[in-house]
Amino acid sequence: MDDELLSQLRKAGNDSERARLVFASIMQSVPQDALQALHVLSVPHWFDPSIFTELTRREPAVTEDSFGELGSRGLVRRSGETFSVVSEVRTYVLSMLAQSEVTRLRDLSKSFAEFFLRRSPSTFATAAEGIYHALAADPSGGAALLLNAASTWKGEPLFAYEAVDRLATNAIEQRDRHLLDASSAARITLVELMVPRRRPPPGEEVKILSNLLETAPTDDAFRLQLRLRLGLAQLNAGEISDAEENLRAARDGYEKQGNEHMLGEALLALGRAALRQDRYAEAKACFELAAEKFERHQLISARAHCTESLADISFYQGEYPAAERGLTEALDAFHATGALIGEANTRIMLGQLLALQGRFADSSTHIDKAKAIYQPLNQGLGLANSSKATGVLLREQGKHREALERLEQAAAQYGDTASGRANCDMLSASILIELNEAEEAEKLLRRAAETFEEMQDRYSLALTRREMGLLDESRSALGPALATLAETTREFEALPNPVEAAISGVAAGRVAVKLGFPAGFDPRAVAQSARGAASVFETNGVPRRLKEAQELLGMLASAASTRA
Amino acid sequence: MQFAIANYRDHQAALTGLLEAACGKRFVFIEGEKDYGKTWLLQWFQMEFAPRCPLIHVDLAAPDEVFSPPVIVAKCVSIIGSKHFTGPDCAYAKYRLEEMSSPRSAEVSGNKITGNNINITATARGETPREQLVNAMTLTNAFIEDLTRLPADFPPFVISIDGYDHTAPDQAMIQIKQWLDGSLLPGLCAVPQARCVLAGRRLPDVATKAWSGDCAKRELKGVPDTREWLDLARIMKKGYPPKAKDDPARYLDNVVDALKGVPGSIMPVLQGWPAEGADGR
Repeated sequence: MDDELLSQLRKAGNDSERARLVFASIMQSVPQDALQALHVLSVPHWFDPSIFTELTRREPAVTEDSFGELGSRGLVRRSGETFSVVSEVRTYVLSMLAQSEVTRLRDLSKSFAEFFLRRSPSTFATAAEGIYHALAADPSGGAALLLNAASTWKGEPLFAYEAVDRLATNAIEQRDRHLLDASSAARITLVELMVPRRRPPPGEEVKILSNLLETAPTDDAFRLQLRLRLGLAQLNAGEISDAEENLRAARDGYEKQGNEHMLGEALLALGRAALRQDRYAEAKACFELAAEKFERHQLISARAHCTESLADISFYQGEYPAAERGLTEALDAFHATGALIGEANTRIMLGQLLALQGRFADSSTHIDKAKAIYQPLNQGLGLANSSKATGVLLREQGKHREALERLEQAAAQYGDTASGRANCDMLSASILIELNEAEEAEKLLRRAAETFEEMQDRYSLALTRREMGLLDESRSALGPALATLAETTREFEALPNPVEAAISGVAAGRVAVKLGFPAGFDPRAVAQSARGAASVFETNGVPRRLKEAQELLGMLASAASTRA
Repeated sequence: MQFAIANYRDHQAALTGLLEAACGKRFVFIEGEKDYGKTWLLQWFQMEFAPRCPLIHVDLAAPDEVFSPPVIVAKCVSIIGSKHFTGPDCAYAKYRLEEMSSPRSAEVSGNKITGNNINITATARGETPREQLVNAMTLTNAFIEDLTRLPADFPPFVISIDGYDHTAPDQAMIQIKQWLDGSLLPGLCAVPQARCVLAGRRLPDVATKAWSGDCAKRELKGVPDTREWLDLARIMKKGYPPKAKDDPARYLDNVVDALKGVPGSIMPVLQGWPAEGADGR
C-alpha cells in the first residue's frame, strides 16, 4: 500500500469509500489472466463448483490458478458451498463491462442464463439468477421469462412474493445498468406491482397500469396481462364499469389463447364485479365457469373463492341449504390451503346463516373462530363483520339490547366503510322497531337508505325499505305500510330472493288483515301467500320467520271465523 | 485448522459459552456494520462447533437462497432430526420439496433454455403476506411444541442466523423479522436445549422482551489494535511486503489507522502480502 493510497484512505468519508479504494488498488496488481477471470466471475451474484467447472471449459481465462489468485487477494469470497466476487469489485467490473464491453457482457450473461436455468434441482434462487442473466443476454426473451416466472410464483399454490421480489430486484439491477429496452422495462413494472410491499394504493396502481397499457407494445400476451391486472386494480378502486371493460377484454383474449388458468382469473373477477351490482345470474355463470377451470388445474384456493361466492349468491337468493353446502365446502378448502381470510369470511357468512336458522351454538362457534383468525391478521373490517354477525345472532336469540350494543360496536369498527355502517343502522333499526323506539329507528333507516341508494345496492335497499314499512305498521300508519311492504315483496321476487320475498309477503299479509283486506288482498290470496311463505321457510329452515307465517295463518283463521 | 480472525475474543467467548452446560445466556446477538466481521465470526463458529452439536446456519443475505419462515423451520427439522417432529402440524407434514410437473423454457438469443421448476411448496401457506406470517407462527408453535418434548439428554442445538437486516427491507426480510421477533425467538425460550445466534447490522431491541435476560448482545466495533493484526498475519503465515520490512508494526499501524480497524478492508490487504518465506524472512 503506497503513501498516496494511504492519504486517499485518510481523506475518504466512510467505510464503503475506503473499501472501494482498497479493492481498486488490489485490482491494479492482479495479473492480466486473473483479471479476465475476474470479469467473468463478476457477472453472476454467485457461483458454485459445478458452474465453475463449466466455466473452465468455456472461458480460457477461468482456471484453478486464476481462481486461486483471486481468492488469495480477497476478491472472491466463499460462503457455504458458493462463491462470489466481493460486492464493491463486482459493481465496478459490471459497470465497466456495461459501458465498454456490452457485447462481451451479453455473451457472458447468456452462458450464465444457461447454467442457472438448466440446473436441476432448481430453486427460486437459481431460477431467479438464471432469469437475471437471461434479461441481460436478450432483454426481450428474458423479460418474457421474467413475467412468466413472476406470474407463476405469485399465484396458487406458491404465493411466493419473496421470490417475485427477488426477480424484481434483479431486473431493476439490469435496468439500472442500461441493459434493457423500454418494452422489458414495462414488464418489470408489471412484475413490481405483483410484490405486496412494492404495490401502491389501488388508485395509484390504476394510473400506472393505464399508462403502461397506453404505451405498451402490441404484444398480445403482455397486453392481456395488463388488462387483467388493470381490471383487478379498478375493481379494488371501485371503478366497476371500467374494470368490467378490461376484464371482459382479458376474458375474451385468454379464451382465444386457450389459457384456462388466466381465463378463470378473469371470470372470477368479472363475477365479483357482477355480484357487486346484484347481477346474480351473470355472477353465478362467471363463478361456475371459473370454478370449472380452476378445478381442472387443481387450484384449490381459487376454486374455493368461486364456491364461496356461489354460496353467497345462494344466500342472497334465499336458497339456504345450497348456501350452507357451498359455504361448508369452501370452508374446508380454505382451511386446507391456509387461506385464513377466506376461511374467516366464510365462517362469518355461515354464522349468520345458522343464526337465521336458529342453530345458535354452531353459529356462535363459527363467529368466534372467525374473530380468532381476524385478530392476529389485524383485519379491522373482519372484526367489524364479526361484531355485526354477533349482533345478528343475539337478535335472533331475542337478546335485543345486547344485539344493539354489538351493532353499535360494529358500526364504530367499520369506520369509513359506509356499507358496513349502513347495514348496522338497518339491523339496529329493525330491533328498535320491535322495542317501540320508532323515532330513533326512523333516523337510522333514513341514513341507511341514503347510503344504499348511493351505492345502488338493490338488495340492502329493499331490506331497508321493508323495515320502513314495518316502522309504519308499528305507528299504525297501515296504508303506507301495506304499500311499502307489497312493493318490497315485488322487489325481492325480482332479484330473485324467495326467502326475503316471503318475509315481506307475510308482513304485507299481516297488515292487510289489520286493514280488513283492502283491494288486491283478498283473504284467499293472503292465505295462499302465507302458506307459500311457510313452505319456503320450512325448506330453508328459518324458524323465526316460519313462526311469523304461522301467526299470520292463525290471524287469517280467526278473521275467517269472525266473518263467518 | 486455525481460523484466521482478528481479536473478537469476547465475542468468541460468548459463542463458545453457548455449549457449556451452565449456559447463562442462550441467545447471542452480534451487531455490526458491513465489513465489521460478523460473517467471519459466524464462519469460525460453524467450523468450530458444527462437528460438536446440531447447528443450523442460515444466511439471510445469501444470494443463492430465498428464505421464508417455513423454509427455515424445515431446515431446522432436517438437521435436528425429523424423527423428533411428530406433532400433527409438524413442519414435514405441511412443507415439502416438490417438483412441479411443467418445465419452464424460454428463448434466449436464439437458444432454447429449459429448466425444471422445483420449489418449496407450502400446502397451507396462505394467500397474503399477513396470512403467511400467521400460518408460519402456527407452524412454529407446533415446531416448538415438538422441541419441548426432546429427550432430556438431547444435546444443545444452535440456530445461527446471519444477514439480519442486511439490506433495504425486501418482502422476505419483512416477514422473517416479524416472525423471529413474534414467534421463533420467544418460542425457543421454552426449549432448554435451544441456543440462538443472530447477527446483523441492526438487531431487534430486546430490552422490553420477556426473554431479555436470556440474551447477550455483542457489538462489533472493528479491531484498531495493530498487534492483533500482526498476530493474525503470523497465523495466516504471511510475510511482509517490501515497503513494510523496515518497521512492519509502524507500516501496519498506518494501514489499520487509515482503514479505521475495519476487518473487511484490512483482511484483503493482509491477504495480498507475500507468503512467509517469500519475503526473505
